[in-house]
Amino acid sequence: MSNGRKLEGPGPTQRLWLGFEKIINAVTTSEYNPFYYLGAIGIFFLWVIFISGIVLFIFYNVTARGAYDSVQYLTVKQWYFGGVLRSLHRYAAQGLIIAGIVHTLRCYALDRYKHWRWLAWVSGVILMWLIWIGGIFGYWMVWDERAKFIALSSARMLESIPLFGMPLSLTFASARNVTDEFFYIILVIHFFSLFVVFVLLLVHLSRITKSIVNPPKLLTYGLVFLLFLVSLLHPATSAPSADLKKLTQSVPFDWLFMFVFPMLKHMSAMGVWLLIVTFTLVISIVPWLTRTKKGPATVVTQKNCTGCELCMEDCPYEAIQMRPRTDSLPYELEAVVLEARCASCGICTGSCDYTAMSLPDMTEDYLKGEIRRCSRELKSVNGAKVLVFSCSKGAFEGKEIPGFEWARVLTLQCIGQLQPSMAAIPFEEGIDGVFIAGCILGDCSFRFGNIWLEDRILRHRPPVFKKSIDRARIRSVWLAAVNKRDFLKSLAEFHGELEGPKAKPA
Amino acid sequence: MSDKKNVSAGEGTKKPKKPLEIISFIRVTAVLIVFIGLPVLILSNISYSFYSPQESAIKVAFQHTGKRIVDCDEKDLIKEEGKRYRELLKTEKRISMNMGKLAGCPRERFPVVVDLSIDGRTMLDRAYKPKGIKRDMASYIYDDFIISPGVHRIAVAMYDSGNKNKADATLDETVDIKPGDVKVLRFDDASNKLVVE
Repeated sequence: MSNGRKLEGPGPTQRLWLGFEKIINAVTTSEYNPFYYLGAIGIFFLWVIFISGIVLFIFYNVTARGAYDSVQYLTVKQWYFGGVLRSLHRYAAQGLIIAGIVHTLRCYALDRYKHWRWLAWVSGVILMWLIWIGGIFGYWMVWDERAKFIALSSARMLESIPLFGMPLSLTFASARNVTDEFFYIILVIHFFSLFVVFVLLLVHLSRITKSIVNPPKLLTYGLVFLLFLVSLLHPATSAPSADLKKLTQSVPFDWLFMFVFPMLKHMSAMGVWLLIVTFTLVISIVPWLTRTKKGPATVVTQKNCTGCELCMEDCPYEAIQMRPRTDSLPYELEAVVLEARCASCGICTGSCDYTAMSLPDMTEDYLKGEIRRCSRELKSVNGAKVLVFSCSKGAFEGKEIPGFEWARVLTLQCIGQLQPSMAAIPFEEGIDGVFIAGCILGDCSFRFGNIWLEDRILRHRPPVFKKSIDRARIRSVWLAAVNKRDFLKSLAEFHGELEGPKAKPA
Repeated sequence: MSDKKNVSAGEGTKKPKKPLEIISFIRVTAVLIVFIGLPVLILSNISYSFYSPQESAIKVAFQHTGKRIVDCDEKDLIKEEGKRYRELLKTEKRISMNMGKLAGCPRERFPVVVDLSIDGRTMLDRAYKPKGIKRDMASYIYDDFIISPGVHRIAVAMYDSGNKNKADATLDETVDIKPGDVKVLRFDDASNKLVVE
């Protein structure tokens, strides 16, 4: 339904992932589905790590002889406070890794990593490795047998890079070589890695408008409960104290952080580095390797722009900026679109009341013409007629629905593209009802399209739907692409209501 | 994103606060336990052993400075040049020290070569280059070998003066290594001897 754009619905991988999330939605509802808040969950874990880390640092003895004993004191003697804190610190770090991995997989599966999202993707890959480095050095600090194994393995890997003068393994050959200064260095690296993670997080979120950094309250309570539950049921403990005169035997292994080291048994340290670098590079360039053609960026018709800033407010990717007026019109500002950041979702066209924002291949005039054409097609149909506005990533793709002759579907790139004045046209053309179907709440493909539109329907967000439109004749449903059955059911119910005795003629 | 409280609604609209639903909380927590709690517990508690209990190790680990390749007395050169400078200063106004002459004193050291054989089998025959841009610093010697526990005869020769015909330090010792033990072979600067600890 465009004069140039071929709208594509979700592919098989996307449907598979959405199908999985549909099951989770059945348990949690979409409002609290943790898979919709993986980034925010990760940030929550980061805060837990930060706060618990500061308290642990107070009790930590930064010496070669005292490090292990101080951690043991917390774990055993002060299990009710220090021990719990240590467990929270460790399990939050592991939770962060899990949240990060699933977040990455989700973005890939749902095709949300290319074009305007490349910076978030690449910075996310770097973030994951930074978190990993911070965790590895955290394990060193305990200085138990597990730490010794990590230290020796890391040393083997680091000294394979011809940058270091002294082989680090020499430090761990004898207990007398392991100095207090060494523990200070480890502590600084551990702290500094977290600091860099927070800084890089700002880059990660830099092109995301109104980024969600906190999970909903109920989800936060769930996370707190989970962390305490795991910490109390299975407190984090140390392995025996590091003994450099012995080979590391069986140790409790954290595969989320230590997965790299067993590879040293099967390949050289350089081989492991090569594998890590290749993997990281390939993952980082995935947005370019799998790049598809993007729709053209929004074009601003400056003579129509009043500088109202609504488009800038609504753009989900900070692709619109306001600048001082460059023409003689009596407004202070004008909108500018940053092409590289534009997702071509059309949300800004939905927020503009003055036809200033326009997708070159899906202009407002074109869409209004299509609405009229579809409405006229239904004129000969008896009974209630329904015009459906559907999101290309939503529950229904196509123009006509078999068995629903009284309905026509107009597919938009994003449901947020629906400008309120467009929704009034079907009623002017004799249509009885307008059915709006967008992505499920919490998971709009373009982040906010469904929320902005619902707010417009409810007259909470400008530009609002006309007061004169009978609200009973507008139905909005928010469904994922895998909810086609629910879509058809809701549409049939809506049609039934329009045909029922209560429905008034237009 | 679904939490509409996080989203500006425009026109100052206030949305009603929802009471905490205990059933929702239980459901959400159950999902969190399955997808975060269980993987965390499972993946952090699998014991792993990089080495077999029937393995031991010998590490050759020490730091040693090889002898200078050219026996150049840098102090003497500086002394001589200083003397010349002072003499010339008495008669001439513009003079400079011959830094090139000083820099010409080679400071490079011999690599430290370590030969190690265990039970007559050569395990190591390696030259460890001195560190530093001018190769004038100490050599760092590190290598490790996994061996079976038991009684082993260890023979080591170390060369630090570039003459492979005459070892600068040697060691020939029989050691009893228990399973899981790590023996460290190092050069003791105080006694000027190779030792096994």
